[in-house]
Amino acid sequence: MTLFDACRIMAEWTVKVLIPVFEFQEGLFPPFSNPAGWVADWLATEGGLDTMAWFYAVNIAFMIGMTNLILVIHLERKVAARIQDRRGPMLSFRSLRELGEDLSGQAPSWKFKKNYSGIGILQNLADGIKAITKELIVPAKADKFLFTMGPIIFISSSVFLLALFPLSDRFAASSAPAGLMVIMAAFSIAPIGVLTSGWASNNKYSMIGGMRSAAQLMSYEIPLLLSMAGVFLLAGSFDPVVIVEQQQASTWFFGLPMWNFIPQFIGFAVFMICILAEVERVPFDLPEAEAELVEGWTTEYSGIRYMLFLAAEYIRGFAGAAVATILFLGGWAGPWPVPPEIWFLLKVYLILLFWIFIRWSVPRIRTDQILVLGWKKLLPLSLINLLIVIFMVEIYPYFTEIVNLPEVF
Amino acid sequence: MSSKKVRGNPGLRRGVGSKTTDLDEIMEDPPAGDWLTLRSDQLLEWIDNAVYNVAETTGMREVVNRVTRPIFNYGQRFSPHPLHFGIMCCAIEMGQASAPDHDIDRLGLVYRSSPRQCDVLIVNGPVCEKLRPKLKTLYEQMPEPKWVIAMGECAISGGPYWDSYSVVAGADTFIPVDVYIPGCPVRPEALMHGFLTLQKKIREKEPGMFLRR
Ligand code: SF4
Repeated sequence: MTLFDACRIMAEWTVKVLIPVFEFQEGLFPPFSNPAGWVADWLATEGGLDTMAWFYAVNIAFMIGMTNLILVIHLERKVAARIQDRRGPMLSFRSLRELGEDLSGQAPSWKFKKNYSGIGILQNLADGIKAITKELIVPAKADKFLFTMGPIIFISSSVFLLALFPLSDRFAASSAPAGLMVIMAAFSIAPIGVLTSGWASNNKYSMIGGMRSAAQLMSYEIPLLLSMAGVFLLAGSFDPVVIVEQQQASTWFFGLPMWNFIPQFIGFAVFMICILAEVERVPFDLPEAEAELVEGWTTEYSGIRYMLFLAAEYIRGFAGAAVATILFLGGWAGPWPVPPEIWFLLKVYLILLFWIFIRWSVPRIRTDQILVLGWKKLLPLSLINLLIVIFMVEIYPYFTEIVNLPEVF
Repeated sequence: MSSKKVRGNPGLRRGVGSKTTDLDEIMEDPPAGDWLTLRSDQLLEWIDNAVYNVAETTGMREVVNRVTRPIFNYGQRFSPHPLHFGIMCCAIEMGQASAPDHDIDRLGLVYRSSPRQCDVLIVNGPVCEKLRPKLKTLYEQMPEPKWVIAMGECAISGGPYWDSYSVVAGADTFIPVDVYIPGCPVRPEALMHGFLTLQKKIREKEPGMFLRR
C-alpha cells in the first residue's frame, strides 16, 4: 500500500464525517446553503477525494520534513560541539517544569543545574518561540515590497522541496516522471530570493552577499547538472523510483548491487561538491560569510524571518542529501529487516554528518576560487564522467556480447 | 507584569497598562470617515487599535497574557543570542567563555554578528566618547525585547580609566543596563553567572508580549 492509498482511505473517512455536517448546515442557514452543498457534492466525487488525499499526503511529507529539520539542527549543534571538545546545548526536559510553574502561578524555583543537564533538543523550541516574539524590523530605506518578497521566495521554494522527493517507492507525496528535474528546478529558485532580499535591504553587505549568491549559482549549476546527467543516462529516466531500481538491478562482484557511486565515482565527487555549493554550506557559504560580510544577505532580517531563513537552509541541506542518496547511494535499497524508509533516512543522515564534519574542519573559499573551481575543474571532470557512462552504456555491452564475458556492469 | 520603565523604542510599550472605558475611544471611527476609502495600512492600524482596546477593556488581554507570557518567556530566557562585539580585554574573556573549558553554548548562546538578530548586547570594555554613538546605534538596531549586560569595571563605571578625559563613566549613562558583572577582567564563570542572572530577571520582570504596543 502506498502513502497515497492510505491518504485516499483517510480522505474517504473524512468525507463520510463531513457530508452530514454540510447537510446539517444546509438546513440550518437556508440563504447560505448552496455553497456548502456544492462543496459536499464535490468532495464526494473522485476528483474531490483525490484532492483531499493529495492534501493529506503533502501534509504528511511536510510534517516528516519538519521533524527531520529539528533533528538536523540539533545534530549540527551537538556534533559541532563534540568536534570542538564541547558539549553543545544542554537544555533539558526538566526546564519545562519552570514553564509549568509559571502557567499555574506557583512560586518560581531556580534549579539551573537541572535546566542544563539534558540533551538540548528543547533548545530548538526555545529559539523558535523567541524568534516569534521578536520585533520585525524593516529598515527605513529598504525596498519594502521586495524586502518582504525575498523571504517568501526563498522559504517557500525550500519548503516545496520537502514534497518532491520520495522516502521510498511506496512513501512519496509526489511521483512525477520528471521528479529529479523538478527538484533541481525548485532548488535553483532560491538564489533569486537571496538576490532579491540582498538588494532590497539597502545595505552594502547584504548587496554583496546577494551578488555572490548569483556568481556562485553560475559556477556550480552546470557541473551539477552534468554530473547528474550520467545517472539519468544510465537509468534512462528522471524518475527517482526508476533510478533506484536501476541501481539495485545492476550487480557487481558476488551479486552485490552496484550503486552509482562505484562506476561514477568522479561524478559522485563532483556532485557532492556542487550540491554543497547549492545548499550554501561551508566551505561554499560565500553569500553569508560571517568574517567578511556581517551576516551576508540576512543582515537586515530580524525575528522570525531570520529564523525561517536558517530553517530553510537546513531544509535545503536535508533535501540535497536526499537527492545525493537517490542518485548515487542506492536510495532506499538495503537489506531486508530494516524498512526502506529507515534505510533512506540513515543514508541521508550519513551524508549530513559528513557535511557537518566538513563544515567544522575546512576554511571558506574565495569568490574567484569558486569560479575557477566550477569552470576549470568540475566542468571537465563531469564531462569525463559523462564519457565514462556513455562507454558503459553504449560500447561496453557491445564487447561483452562479442567475446561472451560475464555481464559485469 | 507591567513594565514601569519605558525602555528602548517607547512607541512599542506605549499602550501597556492603559485602561480606557470610553466607548468612542474603543471603537473610534476610521480616519477617512468612509470604510471603502481606507488605505490598507490605515485599516490595519484601525483594526490594531480596536482589537487592543477591546481586549484591554474586557480583560481578555490579561487572560490571554497569563497563558502566552510563560510560553514566550520560556523562549526568551532560554535562547539569548548576544551580539558578537568586543571592545577591550573583557572581550577575550567573552571568547574564552565559549571555548571548550567554559562551554557557554550549553546555555543556548549563539553569537550573531548582526544586531538585528540579537537579544543581548554585552558591553565589554571602556566606552570612549568616540565609540558611544556607535554603541548607541547598535543598541537601537537590535529588535525588541533586548537586554544589556555591562561586563567588567570599565563598562560599569569607567574602571581603571575613571579619570580619563575620553572614557564614558559607565555604559548606563547612555543605554539601560540590565545586569552588571564586576571584575577586572570578568572571569568566564562570572559571565555565565551573569547570563543566569539575566534569565532570572527576564522570568520575573518581562511583561509578556500579547498585544503589546
Ligand atoms: S574591566 Fe578590566 S579587563 Fe575588562 S575591559 Fe576594563 S580594563 Fe579590561
